[in-house]
Amino acid sequence: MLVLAALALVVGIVLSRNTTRSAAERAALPPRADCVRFPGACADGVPTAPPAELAALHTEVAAADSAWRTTLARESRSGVFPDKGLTAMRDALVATESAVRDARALLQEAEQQQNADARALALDALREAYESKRALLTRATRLLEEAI
Amino acid sequence: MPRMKATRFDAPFAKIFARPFARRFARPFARPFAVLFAMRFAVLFALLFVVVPNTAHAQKPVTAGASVPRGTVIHLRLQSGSVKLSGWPFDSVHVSGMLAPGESWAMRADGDTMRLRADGIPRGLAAPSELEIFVPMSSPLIVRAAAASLVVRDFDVSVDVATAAGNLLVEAVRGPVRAETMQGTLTVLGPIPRVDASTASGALLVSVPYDTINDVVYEQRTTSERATPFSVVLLRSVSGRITFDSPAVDSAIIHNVRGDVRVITSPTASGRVHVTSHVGRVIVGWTDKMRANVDALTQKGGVRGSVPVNGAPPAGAAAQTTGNVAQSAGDAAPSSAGVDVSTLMRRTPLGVAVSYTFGRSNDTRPGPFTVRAVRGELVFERVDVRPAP
Repeated sequence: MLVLAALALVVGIVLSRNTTRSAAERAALPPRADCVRFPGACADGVPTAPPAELAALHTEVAAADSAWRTTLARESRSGVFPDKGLTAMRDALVATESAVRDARALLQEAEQQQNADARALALDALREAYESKRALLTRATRLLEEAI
Repeated sequence: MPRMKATRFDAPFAKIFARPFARRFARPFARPFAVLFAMRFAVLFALLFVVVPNTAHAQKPVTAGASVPRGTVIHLRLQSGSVKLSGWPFDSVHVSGMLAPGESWAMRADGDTMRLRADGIPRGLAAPSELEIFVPMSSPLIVRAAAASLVVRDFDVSVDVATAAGNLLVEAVRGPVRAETMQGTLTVLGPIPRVDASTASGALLVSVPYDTINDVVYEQRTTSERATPFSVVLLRSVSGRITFDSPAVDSAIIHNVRGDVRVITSPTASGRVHVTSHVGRVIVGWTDKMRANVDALTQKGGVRGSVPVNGAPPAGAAAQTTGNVAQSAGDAAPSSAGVDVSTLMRRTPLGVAVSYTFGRSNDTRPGPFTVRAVRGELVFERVDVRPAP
């Protein structure tokens, strides 16, 4: 009985860690992929490096992500930004990151098939996904900076 | 369930303590779940009546005003609550309403900007602020809010409004509008010349009031193209549903990552509509008064609904129809006489492509309307337009 009680206590503590974590901490975590809606996001062997055409855009997204994390670290101390907004941001980041990985998988598939038209479509999808992520990060950073 | 047999050790205990205890304390818990639920609900309800009046009394009234020179930029910063923000023809600012406990109101002129600000963070269960603010309708407006819901109306110049978590309604603005909310519903009612609107998870609706969608608007657009309710529209969301409903538009670029997109519009001759979606469905609505030149493609999704064809809606691949709809009957066919329709639906190595054009031969042909979905489904639906009163 004692062993079971101890086990339940440990499980309870582990499970409650996520619920006690603040919205700001959750938003700062690296986003996991949504493998159900974006099947390509969890495909094996997909390169993370962007194609040459989108290298500049990828760099801009990385810079926007860095600015967002810096601002978020400051915000977590102020507590002005509503948790609902941070949770929405967190979910949106998961979706945009999943879209990026999914489009990257489609691009790889098109390149393996040597289909130029499919590659062009996948490249457009990847560009849109990058731009969505950049727009989201830029908007959220600006809102956060102006709210602090 | 088998009844547990008392052992010789616990029998005296049961006799002395457990049975009376059970009779006295455990019996109430044996009541039906519905009764227990009702009891708890009653307690919560009573608590609500105790808490709400106390917090409402804790709000602070605020009334403030100041004159501002014409053309001064109004910069408003808010924390939470609901705020109604209207333009008026006077060169002054007026604020009235209730502030949440913990908030204070400040106004100060800063060069050519008038800064209005609700400072402080509202306390946990406190009643939120409820403010009504009037500013000159000719003053550019910038609003930044943390968790406020806003209604913004009656402005002649640019409006730039953003809130992290809250609903936004923007209407009757004659200047360009930029509006965004992370978590909340964003509604923009036209006509508005330029709209740049975005949400993260909230629904996004950009439309014109239905009483303005009538034959006059359609006919003016096809003849002189003066009556476009929206000139340039940029809509973006991540997981909220986007709805864009306007008889005509000069240029619309709409993108959604995970949410659905519903578009009922037609570009002008020199304009274009471009809709992209990754996972969400793209619903293209059409009316028999609309002139269309649609080119849609989904790479991994399917197609359903009814596109304007002669006779029955297309099913499956390689359905091609060209002809004059007025000469044939069909649910999907436009009802106006003399409407030319050309529809092509095919499965390509890139996905399922649907393209259709229709309109009267003497009409000005609309610009391109392209739809690109990665995994999202394409849905075509006929929309009935309310006739002009």
